[in-house]
Amino acid sequence: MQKEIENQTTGQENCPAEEKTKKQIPAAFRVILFLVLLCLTGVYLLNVFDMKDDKGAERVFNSFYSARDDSLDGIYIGSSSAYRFWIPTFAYENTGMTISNLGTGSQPVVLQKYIIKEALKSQKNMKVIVIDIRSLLNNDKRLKEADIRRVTDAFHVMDSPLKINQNRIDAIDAALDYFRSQNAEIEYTKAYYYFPFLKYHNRWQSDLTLKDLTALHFRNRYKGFVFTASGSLSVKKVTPPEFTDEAAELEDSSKTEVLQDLLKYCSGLDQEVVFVLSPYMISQQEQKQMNAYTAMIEEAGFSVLNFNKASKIRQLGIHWNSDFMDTKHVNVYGAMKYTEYLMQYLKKHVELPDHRGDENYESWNKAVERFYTKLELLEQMKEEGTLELNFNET
Amino acid sequence: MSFVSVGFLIFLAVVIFLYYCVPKKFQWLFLLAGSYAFYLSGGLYMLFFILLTTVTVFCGGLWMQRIKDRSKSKKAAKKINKRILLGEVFLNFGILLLLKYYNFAAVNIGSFFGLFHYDVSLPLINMVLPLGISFYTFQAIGYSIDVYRDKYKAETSLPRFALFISFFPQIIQGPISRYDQLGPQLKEKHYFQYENLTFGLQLMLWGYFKKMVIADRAGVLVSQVFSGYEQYDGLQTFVAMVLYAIQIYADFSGGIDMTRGAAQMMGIDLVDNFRRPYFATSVAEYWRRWHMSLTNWMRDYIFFPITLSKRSAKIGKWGKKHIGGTIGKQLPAYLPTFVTFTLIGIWHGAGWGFIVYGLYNSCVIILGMMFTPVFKRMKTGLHINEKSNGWMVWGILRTFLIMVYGKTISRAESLPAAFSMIRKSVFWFGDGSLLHRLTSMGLNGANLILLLLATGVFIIASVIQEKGIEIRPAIAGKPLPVRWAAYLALIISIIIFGVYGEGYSASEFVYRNY
Amino acid sequence: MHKEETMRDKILEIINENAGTDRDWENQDRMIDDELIDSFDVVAIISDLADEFDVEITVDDMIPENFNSVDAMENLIQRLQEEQE
Repeated sequence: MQKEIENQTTGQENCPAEEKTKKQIPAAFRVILFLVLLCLTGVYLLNVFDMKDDKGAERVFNSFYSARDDSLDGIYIGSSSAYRFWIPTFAYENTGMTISNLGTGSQPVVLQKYIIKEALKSQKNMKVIVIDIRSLLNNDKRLKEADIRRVTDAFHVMDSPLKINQNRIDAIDAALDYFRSQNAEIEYTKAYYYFPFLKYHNRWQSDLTLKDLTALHFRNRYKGFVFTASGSLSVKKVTPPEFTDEAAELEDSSKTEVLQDLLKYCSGLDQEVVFVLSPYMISQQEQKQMNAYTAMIEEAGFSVLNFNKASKIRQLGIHWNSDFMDTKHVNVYGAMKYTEYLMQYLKKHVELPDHRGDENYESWNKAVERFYTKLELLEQMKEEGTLELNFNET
Repeated sequence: MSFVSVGFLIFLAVVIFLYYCVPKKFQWLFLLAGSYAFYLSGGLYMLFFILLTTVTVFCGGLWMQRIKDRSKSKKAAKKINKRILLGEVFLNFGILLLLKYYNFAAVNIGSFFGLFHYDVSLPLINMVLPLGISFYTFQAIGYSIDVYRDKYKAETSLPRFALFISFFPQIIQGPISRYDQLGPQLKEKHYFQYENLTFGLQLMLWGYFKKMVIADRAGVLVSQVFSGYEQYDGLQTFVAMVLYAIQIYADFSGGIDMTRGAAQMMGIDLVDNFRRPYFATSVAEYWRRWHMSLTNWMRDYIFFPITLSKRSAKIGKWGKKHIGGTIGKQLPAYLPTFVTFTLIGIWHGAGWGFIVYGLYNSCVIILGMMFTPVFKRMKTGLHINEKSNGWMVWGILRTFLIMVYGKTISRAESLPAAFSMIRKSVFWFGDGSLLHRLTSMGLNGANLILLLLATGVFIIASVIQEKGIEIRPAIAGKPLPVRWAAYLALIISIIIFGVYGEGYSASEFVYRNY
Repeated sequence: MHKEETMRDKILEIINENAGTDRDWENQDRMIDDELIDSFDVVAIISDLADEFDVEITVDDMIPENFNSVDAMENLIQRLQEEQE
């Protein structure tokens, strides 16, 4: 009895929700409002705790996704062997072709089919697909989880508000199955790839930056070309490789299977598919493997531009002493020479429109400007000595 | 189905939603179906055991009731019923003992004979323990004993009784309920009350916070140090031991919060199992605050019956006469205390660590009892004020430390390991900087700090509760922005800081090593 | 002093002996519920009560209602004395 009386006088503490006189907002409304607030918070958190975009892969894909449907003439996929070499804005500026770069660090070959599929969703009328095959030389046993995630975390999770991106799921399944067969030491729980938040919510303890907290998504500003202050103007003197035409015996059956699968898929495409192997300080062993793969690809009816040949190097006009940022990649000057050659080749062999002057392609014009603005700025800084470069051998 | 899984959350949401939709008089039936569905998620074969216990105890209860009702002599009835009760106890505890302890016994018997070079290798049972068997068996037998003692009449409906035994929120970790407390609630009609839903949900969230942010995080360090104990120095060992005490409390009480929260959402009140045990100022008091449903069970069904038996009375008389003083008086309580706490130790699991843990607690408590007058004289002699804060703090720290050491015995890989760790933990010297030593036990600096902060929140909440303030109503009484901020903060903490998803070991952050 | 101690006085004496003299046991009515006396104290008190008043206190009598106050204990003993005549 005493307790009840006490309750009545301090009623607030025990039955707040039932005191309608105090609350002006009815319970149901409050619940809904709270849930809405919770959902918004959830969305915010999902966007804060996502992939750490060290190599800019997410930005590359964001740039691609922002392209208007059917505005691209093609895509150029591969690893850093792609995104450091092909400058889409340079090609557009000189020929009017719009071929976006969709390269990601150490892009696994097994994922390339899915990248093409993803691109075809919004760009089904593109004319050409360029595939850099340097990834074939990767030791898949040494695969890092990040190499997969740079692609699968960058893919949209939903195609539309009610449709899940099945292509992404397939990509994850295929990649994990392949790498399990290669005994790569990575995480194999599929759920962690389907729902990246399961991994990235742990980022609070390591590398969350203020930029992450804004939950904003940035885009690569050069249509996929990765233009960095420390790398792109870097100069490293690279020893020219000794080229060979010998081909090795291909052993790894699961890798050739993946390649065959990719070739089969490409055969069924309307687009022209061109395979390339960008130049770098390639070893004899690597060349022999590459020559073998090249033979395989040519047998399937595709053209392969292997730039790791003396003749091709001459045609590119690339200098080993000044056009490379490190032993694996050209710097921006080498990239311009590379793009110059390749764009002429593509112009000759594939019917590509010239979009210059088309007011719908203003974003490309802007990208070209940005490219030169940055180049000038970086060159100035380099001259002043305020630019920190990876290598500066002259 | 683990409580910490998306599956369970969906299951619970569906059950609660439908619970309030079905006609009120079928609510209990719906709960029964839900509870068995939940139980089945563990495996079909487990069903056999819980059904066996449910049916035998139910029938035993009815039988006893019938004999009582029909018999003219109370004494005669009691005699027969005693046999029925013993039958039930032997059967159900027998099953529990067999399933839980057979392998342990077999291995040790083999080792024992091995000492004499006899090769005795008994076959081992390869079976997973039925879900919750340690809990529901005790709950069922408690009911039997209550019926035997005429505390209430036996339940006449098998399905209603089955619900009492299988009620899903409490099946995994308890609490061990009494039939007169839970039974009527299960039979009542439950109308939707907003406060039950919100308070229940808040309690569950608090449970998830304790488990996922505190317990599982501490567990990373505890597992690493306890399994590789030789490599760690004294301070590191001590830290791990303390963190284990924190982990097990956060884990268990967190689970109970989820349980009680879920039940509350259905309008059912399950007894609390914890009352801030680490605030106890003596080991005896600790056991009145820790796993209360179990210790109360032991008290009511083991301790009191033994201490109030005729034999005990005789021992008491003998003791008072021949030994006198405190010890003479306490004599009849020693054995039941010893038995009770050793049983509590064994209840935890089949292992020497648990047995010794039980013995450890018994000894500490009995010694405490014996030395009560001595301590009293010391206190008056040293002019110590028992009621002072200082003395209370001393009591809390002392008791906490005693329990840390006890729990280490139960958690360590083996008894020798336990003793090695305890011995080592007294000396805190070690190589290398303090920072390095603390962060090389499995948790990096960021995680250690978070663990500290989260535990701090836990401690503050406990202090508030200890002062008698009920937290959920207190928060509910605050203005809307304040309460919503609190609830959101709790939810967000669990989502961000919860230990789930991909990896906590350094190797998991492989993606950083491009 | 009284020549004959009442039952109440004796009960108080027993409580004081076993659970300490710090509290005013006479005016308590939630001794068990508020844990002012613990299980061990209860056992000792029961042992003394059983001796003093020559009654048999069994487990069935072990409910808080019988031990929460001096009055409750007095009632218990009186009832047991009647039953166990």
